[in-house]
Amino acid sequence: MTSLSGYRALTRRDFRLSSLGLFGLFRPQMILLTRRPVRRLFFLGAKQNLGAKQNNGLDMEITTDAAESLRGALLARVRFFTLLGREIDIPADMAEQEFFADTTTDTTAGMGAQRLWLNRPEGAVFALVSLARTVSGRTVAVAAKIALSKMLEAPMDAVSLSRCRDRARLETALDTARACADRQAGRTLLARLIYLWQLDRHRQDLAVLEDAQGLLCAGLDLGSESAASVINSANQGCCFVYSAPLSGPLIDGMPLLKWLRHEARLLVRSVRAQGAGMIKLSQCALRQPELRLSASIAAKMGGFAADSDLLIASSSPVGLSWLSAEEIQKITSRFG
Amino acid sequence: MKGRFGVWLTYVRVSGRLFSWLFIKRGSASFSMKQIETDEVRHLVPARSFAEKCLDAAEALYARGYALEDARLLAVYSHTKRNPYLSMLYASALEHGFAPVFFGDTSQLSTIPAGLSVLVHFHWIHRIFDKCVDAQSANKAVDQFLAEGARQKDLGRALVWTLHNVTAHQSKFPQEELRLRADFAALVDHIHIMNPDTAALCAPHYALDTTKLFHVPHPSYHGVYADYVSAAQARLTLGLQPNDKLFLLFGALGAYKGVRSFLAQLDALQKQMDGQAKFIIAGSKADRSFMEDLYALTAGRIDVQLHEGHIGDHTVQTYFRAADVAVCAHLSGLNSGVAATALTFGCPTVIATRMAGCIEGADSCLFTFDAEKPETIIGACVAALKASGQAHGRQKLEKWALEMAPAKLSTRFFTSLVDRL
Repeated sequence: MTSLSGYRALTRRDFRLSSLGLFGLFRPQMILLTRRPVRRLFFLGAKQNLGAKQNNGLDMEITTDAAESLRGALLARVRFFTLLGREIDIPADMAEQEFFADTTTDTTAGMGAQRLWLNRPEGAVFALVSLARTVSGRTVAVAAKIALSKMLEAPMDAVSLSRCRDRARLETALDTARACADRQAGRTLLARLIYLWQLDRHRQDLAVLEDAQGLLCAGLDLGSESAASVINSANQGCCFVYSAPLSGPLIDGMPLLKWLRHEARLLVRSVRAQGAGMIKLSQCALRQPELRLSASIAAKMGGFAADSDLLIASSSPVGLSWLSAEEIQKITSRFG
Repeated sequence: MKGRFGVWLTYVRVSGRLFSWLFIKRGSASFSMKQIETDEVRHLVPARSFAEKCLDAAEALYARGYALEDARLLAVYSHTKRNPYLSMLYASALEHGFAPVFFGDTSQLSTIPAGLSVLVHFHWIHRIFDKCVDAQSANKAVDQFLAEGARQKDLGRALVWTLHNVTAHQSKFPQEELRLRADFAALVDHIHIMNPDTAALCAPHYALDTTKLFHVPHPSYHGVYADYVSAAQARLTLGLQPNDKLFLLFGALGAYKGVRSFLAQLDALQKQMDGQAKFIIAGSKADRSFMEDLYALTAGRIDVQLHEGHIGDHTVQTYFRAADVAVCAHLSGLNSGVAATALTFGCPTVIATRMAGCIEGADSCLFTFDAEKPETIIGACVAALKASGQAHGRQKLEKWALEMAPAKLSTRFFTSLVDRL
């Protein structure tokens, strides 16, 4: 007798229904998954409520007879079709979603269901969901009502987040943390996301976060560049007007400190080339926190006079790369 | 009632099939472990963006004391995972103010942060055909590649090309590749050659402006592969008897390697060896038709062993330490990394005369044959075998390997390049 009692093996009839996209149409299922997927087609409705916070989701409780929980034990593949049957391209991480299989003990202890999200793309009328086991030599079972329900990405408390295995919800919480420059929450969320899914984009985000933390706490080690500050510019009265990034815009995923170092070096070079003694930010540049930061660093690095506007807190209205507007101002003042 | 039910059932069946055809059967319907393994972004997208890699590279140069004006970023196309040549060539890059950053798609060049001094170094340019399916797409790829090259020049970035082959060994689109090479040779600023005869060997196919050429030979593989197994142990591992004379053909298998031509000479060579010769052909598999040929040619020959598969870095030593002679049977080509590997392990090497120039300073241990007369390889093999037991020869090769060590040749490469900039 298997420890996964109560679950039934898939039959030929199930696969016949599956080939029509009708698996699990009539009642909730408790099945032992196979490598051969079972499929279910959902009609999403003709009307589309674009921009709605609600999305379709399917909750599944996944269990294994293994001694430890299995990573990526269930693969859910999602495809969307228009009314005429044309397949709609969707991002890879939405098209294929992997799920953990919990041990029977964990399931009993209430590890909870995992959610498959179906974020309906524009024009989608049908969604085809396939469920398959990916691991060999282990039994993987799923208990679910194979039906879509409207779900809200409601905010969760800290305890729920620490146990959550819903990537969409964790990423929503991460966006919120980023917007508030809450690095502590961000670090916790990213640590969980990395632990669960091992994706580079999360690692990259954590690197950006730690980089910002380093900039705030330890500052920027100007190293040998600061020595160059003794070679002061000849013409203190002449201003270099800084209106746009010299190294190109700060792109997503680029650690701020790395970008700042390079940008400040370029700025120092440009100011010196012009024979100026002061960096003046244009009105447009004053609204861009990264330019304010690079200007203040370059001023320190090159021994130039600081633009007095840099030190006005109100001129830094937005945060950047896990730093709040106040924190950016704090760093700017340190260099200015 | 029964009739109506039958009609209904037929309707359900037909609509089911139609539904199935519309929605289910399209595309891949089954999952495989491979799909899952390669799906993770980790395998496809690097942890850092190319722009970030560029800034890291610049930072590495600043840390070595190079100022912004002197730090040069070397954007390199394209990266190979298994061939250590690039790591060898760039072994001393940072010491000379160059930081290599690899890219696989020319569109990445547009993301290089401004303000950096950039050189673009191309290697195996035929890789642009990797995703091409027909001549039309290949021609389009050539046009795009050349346009991107021209754009890089317009940005003031020097283009450097290391010419590894006349054409790719197994060119998918020979005509398009020749056009690519001819136009690219005209576009680039500097061409690095390892074989001094490169211009002459390429001349029948495309012209090289000799003023753009600079010669830095192929480095030895000193320190590249593990080397701790004795010759006796290596021979035991390969099941050789003490009197066996092992001729090794090493490296990725392919029609271009001249293996078929060499196998045609085996009986004649075996006669000269009094039947004591053994042959090992070791390397990753080639296309199916070539492998079928190879199976047919080697079947029934007890003196030939076929070791199919990639040979790991720690196993390379077993083959070269066990070998009496390494045979690079290529009938065409410009350079041979296998010859350099063999010489590094102290193994006399047989190579076509046209390719011998890529190795500098090891002439006494290189035994050449005329690629136009494949039977001349027998004489070269016999001569190489005579040299193989000589301690003097081995000492000479050890000295050669040190003198041509990757770091030293890398220094030569960058010094030559800086002189030209």
